[in-house]
Amino acid sequence: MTERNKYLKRLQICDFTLEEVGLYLDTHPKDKTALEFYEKYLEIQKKTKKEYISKFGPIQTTDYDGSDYWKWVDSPWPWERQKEE
Amino acid sequence: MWVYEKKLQYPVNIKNPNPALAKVIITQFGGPDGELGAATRYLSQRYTAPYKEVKGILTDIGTEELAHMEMVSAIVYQLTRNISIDDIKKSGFADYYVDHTTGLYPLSASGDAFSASALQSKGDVIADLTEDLAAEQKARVTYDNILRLADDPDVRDPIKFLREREIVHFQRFGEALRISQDNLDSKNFYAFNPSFDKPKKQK
Repeated sequence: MTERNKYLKRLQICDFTLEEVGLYLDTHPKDKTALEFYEKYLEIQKKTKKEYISKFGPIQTTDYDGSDYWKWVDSPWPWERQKEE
Repeated sequence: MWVYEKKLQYPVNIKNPNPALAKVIITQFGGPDGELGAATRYLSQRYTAPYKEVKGILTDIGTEELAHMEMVSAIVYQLTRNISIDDIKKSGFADYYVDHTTGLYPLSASGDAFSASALQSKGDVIADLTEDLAAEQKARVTYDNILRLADDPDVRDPIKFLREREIVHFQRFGEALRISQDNLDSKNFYAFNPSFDKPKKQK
């Protein structure tokens, strides 16, 4: 697995966890265990996302890093099959 | 993937309901030149787009069209709030009401349900971008027609914003088309490459 795929997988795990628990919280907004779980994973997700962006470029246009080049269209598009290196 | 933001791209705050006007404006939700069709068109075309700038512009404009669909839906929703059966009868809204109550359903002003027949995804960058340029102009004309039919400034304001966006998108698609043509094979060039199966690699 490439370095990029490794970090991407980690971020996908975090994001999916937040998605799943978020749906649960939509209908159980007072569940303390779920709220604490969400908070914990949100912290991990933020850190993971920041790391990914600094290494491999933006995930959203607003992840712009202040450099003198707009990297948004350059990094691979998610529907292209990623080469294993 | 996508993430929802709990805000409109531009505010919609309509004081006075007007079901007759809602029936006209709903065409920019589910009509032939509407925002649902626009989003579907660009977000379908982007997969086979050969150049990174074109993939980017189709993704980003396609995403913005989803936000426009939400704005048009908000306008229609606010125009049909708290209306009486009397309002419904008098305004010509009864035929919509009987099928959908005041639920948002994607159809055209003439009552045809949303159809992907009004859009194309051709797998050819010149064909697709030329279609997209036309689509932005058709949507712009529709917004112009809505502005001729609508007096309420609360409605006109967000419609004017949406009309402006069609013009900006037309400009960006024009640039995407120019970038694509710059990448065509100059030995086989006639605005498009007559014999290309696979687009030339990016310069």
